[in-house]
Parts: sequence; structure tokens; C-alpha cells
Amino acid sequence: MSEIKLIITGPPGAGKTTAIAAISETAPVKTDTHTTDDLAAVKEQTTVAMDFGELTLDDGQKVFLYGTPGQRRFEFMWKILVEGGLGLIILVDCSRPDPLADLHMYLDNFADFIRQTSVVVGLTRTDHPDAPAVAEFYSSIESSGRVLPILEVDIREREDVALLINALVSTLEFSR
Amino acid sequence: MKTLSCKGFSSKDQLVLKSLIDLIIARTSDTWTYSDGDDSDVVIIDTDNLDDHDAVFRHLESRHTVAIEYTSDTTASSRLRLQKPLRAANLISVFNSVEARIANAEADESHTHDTLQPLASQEPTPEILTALDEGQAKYLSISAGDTTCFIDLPGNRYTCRGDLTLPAVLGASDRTVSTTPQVENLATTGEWRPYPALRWLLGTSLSNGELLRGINPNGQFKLHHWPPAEVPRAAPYTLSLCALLSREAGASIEEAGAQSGVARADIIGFINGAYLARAITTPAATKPTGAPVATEADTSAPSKPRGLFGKIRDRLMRKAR
Repeated sequence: MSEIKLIITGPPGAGKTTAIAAISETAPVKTDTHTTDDLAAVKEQTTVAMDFGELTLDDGQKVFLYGTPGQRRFEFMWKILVEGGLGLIILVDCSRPDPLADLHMYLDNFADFIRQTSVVVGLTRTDHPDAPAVAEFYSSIESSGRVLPILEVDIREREDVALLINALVSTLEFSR
Repeated sequence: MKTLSCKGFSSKDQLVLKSLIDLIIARTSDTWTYSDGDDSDVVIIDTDNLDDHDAVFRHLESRHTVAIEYTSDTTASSRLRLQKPLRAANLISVFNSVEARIANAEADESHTHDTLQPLASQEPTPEILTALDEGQAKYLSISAGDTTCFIDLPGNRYTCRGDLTLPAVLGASDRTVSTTPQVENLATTGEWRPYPALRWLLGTSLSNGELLRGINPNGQFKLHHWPPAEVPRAAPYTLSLCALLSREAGASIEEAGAQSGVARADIIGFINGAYLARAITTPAATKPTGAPVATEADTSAPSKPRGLFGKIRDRLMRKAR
């Protein structure tokens, strides 16, 4: 059976590790280490290689979930992890200083992969007082001509992670 | 106290009506009694049984009597309507609307006709949604069981009186839907609650397989943005429709049905919701005004698509092992 691989990316602290832990049927494999740079002020640990989880389909086939490291200095890992991937979920932490710029940074960096596959955007911490409205995210990507799914989610909830994967599967099946 | 009589009713329906009035009296604001006289406040007319019912309506309206049609017809109507068979919830909803109508007429007789037409109507609801969307009606009232929810569509907010939640009321099989201009009706409810998914949910829940007035059923529909997460959480099939209608060329109702396996009525409800939420480009209307567009009656869902994506969806539906 071929490997089915879904990639979850986004800035540090957006909830990639949490998302995989919420949905994986096995204990997720983490490569977290203590934060040593500026991020230490907001996050004790960060992913340096990848997070990994899996789901088993009814026929025994596995769906592998890979979480990328969020920090840009680990950008080289992004290209490695998306190799052979089915689609991408970008998590955007709306409590960060510029979530719109964060989204565009990931859309740009994964542009080639997205062009070949599909992408879903999950907005986290949208209750932050300075969080942009969902409409602002749609406006900011309007010029691309693509209508991306942008969903507000609580990434700690399994149902919300399932919703993002379900949306990704729907775009793969019907939007392309 | 309000008096009520009927015209054209079978003896059985008349008996049911009298019994229901006795039963529901505690759930209406005013006291209602059945009257055999000709001077009742309200007359319910069985338009299926009365040939010259239009003349009866004209006569009653000339006397400023509130006339309600009682019919099995489900096409749109600007009249107050009770759908057959008689149901207590429908009757309560209509009575409450009539009370509001009469109270308003007494308060400002000169504006009665303009502000309260159409004041309330039973299903089909697409006409009500259109009236709300176009500002011809103020609030939407949806009742089920002992709960009534009021919806302020321009404000994207709602409030409920009773134990059920708004999604539960919207999904109830015995729900009744009407419009009301009366803010006073809200006095005993809780605070207004904002609900960004409100317009989408009204479309998916209240369309009854009919497109809103002015939407041409023939052509490509193109989605501009996806609905809030509450919509796919409540109705996962909407994810397939979102994806199909997000394509660069959009999709027709027929294409969406054939490719997603979603029932036609559900596709139409989703399109209505997206239209109310200003999230979709619809084909230009061939007739800008008129009744809601009736679509084919076939609402059966084609077989569910399978394959890898179907298997992943099935897995996601199951709880963690």
C-alpha cells in the first residue's frame, strides 16, 4: 500500500504538536527540545525535526500525520517532510503579532507543494483581542484567485482536527 | 380575549381545532375562544374546501378581520397560513403572530398594512428568508416544543426562550416559522447572542428544497469563502459542497449533486445559506421577482462516493481507538 501522508505546518506555538496528539491513534512521536531563542519567552519547548502521528483506515491502510518544526530556521525540514505528501494544513496562531503575514509566509514557502496538492487553513486562538476577523484572511488571499478553506478551530479538540482533515480531503477530492 | 371561527372546515377538522384551542390556551399570550358567530376577530378558512375563498378573504379584509388560510398547498403565499394537518405548535405560532398584528394595528392603524404584510406565514420558509433578507420583515420567530427563538438577521444574532438550543429548534420536525415586527416579544428571553454562522444555518435548515427568490437555478454557483466551522460541524456534507463550489469555474446544482452525492434539497439549502451570507456568486436571475424558484422534486441522494477519501472520512467519523 502506498503511504498516505498529511502535513501540518504553521508558526511556533500554533498547535501543530497538539493537533497531532489530539487525533493520532498512537502516542505521537515528538522531537521537542527546550527553546533557547526569543521564543523561550512564550514557549518552553519547540519541535526541531517533526511530530508524527497516525490513523488506521478500515482496510488497514495508514494515514501518517507529520508536523513540521515551526521556526523558520528549520525551513530545510519543510521540503523534506512534504515529499510525497497528500495535502497541507496550515495552522495560524491569531494571538501572534501579524497572523496575516504568518499565513502568507507559509503559503509562499509551500507554494509548489500546494499547487500540486491542496491546503486548508486553521485559525487558532481567535479569541485574542487583536485577532483579525476571518474575512480579513479571505481578503488578504483574494488576489491569488483561489478560495482556500479557512476555519476557526480549537486545535485541542479531536473533532476540530478531524474537521480540518475532512476539509482537506474534500478539497483534494472535489476542488482540483 | 380573542375570538376565532372557521369556514369550509370538515366537521372532523373543526373538532380538532376546538380541541387544540383548549389545549394550547396556556401557551398563547392572549386568551382564545372558539366562536360560532360572524364577528370573530380571526377566521380560519379551509381554502381546499371552499371554492370561492378569494371572495371570502376580500370580504373579511374589508371588515378588518384577520383571515388565515388552512391548506395542504405548500407553494408560497403572502397570506397567514396554517398548513394541514392542524398542529398545536403551528396554531400557537400563528396565534402569537396574530396577537402581535392586532396589537400593532391598535397602536398605529395607519401603518398596519404596510408594516405587517406579510406578517407571518407557515412553511414554505424560503419566502420568509427572502423577506428578512430584503428588509421586508423584522424578526424571524422559530418555535419547537416549548422553545421559541427570535432571530435578528441584519444583526446576525438570536435569542431563545425555552430549553432547546437554536440548532435543536431549527432541526425540529414540528418547528414553526413566522416573522414578527414586535420587539416586545423579546422581553422574556435572554440577551441577544451573536452568531456568525446564523445565515448559513438558516439557509441549510429552512429552505425546504426551494431556492430563494431571485436565484436562478440554472448556471454555475461560485463560493467566495467557506462557512464558519459550526456549519460543517453540524452538516459535514457541506464540506464537499464548499470544495465543489470553490472551484474556479464553480459548479451547477446538478454537477454538485452528481459529484458529491449530496441530496438536491441539501445543495439548495447550502446555496441559500451562502447567498444570505453574501458568500456566493449566483447565476443571474431570469425573473427578478416572483415566487421562490421551485426545483425538481427529486431529493434522493445518489450513492456515497467511496475510495481513499471516503475511507479517510469514515475513519474521522469514528472516535479514537
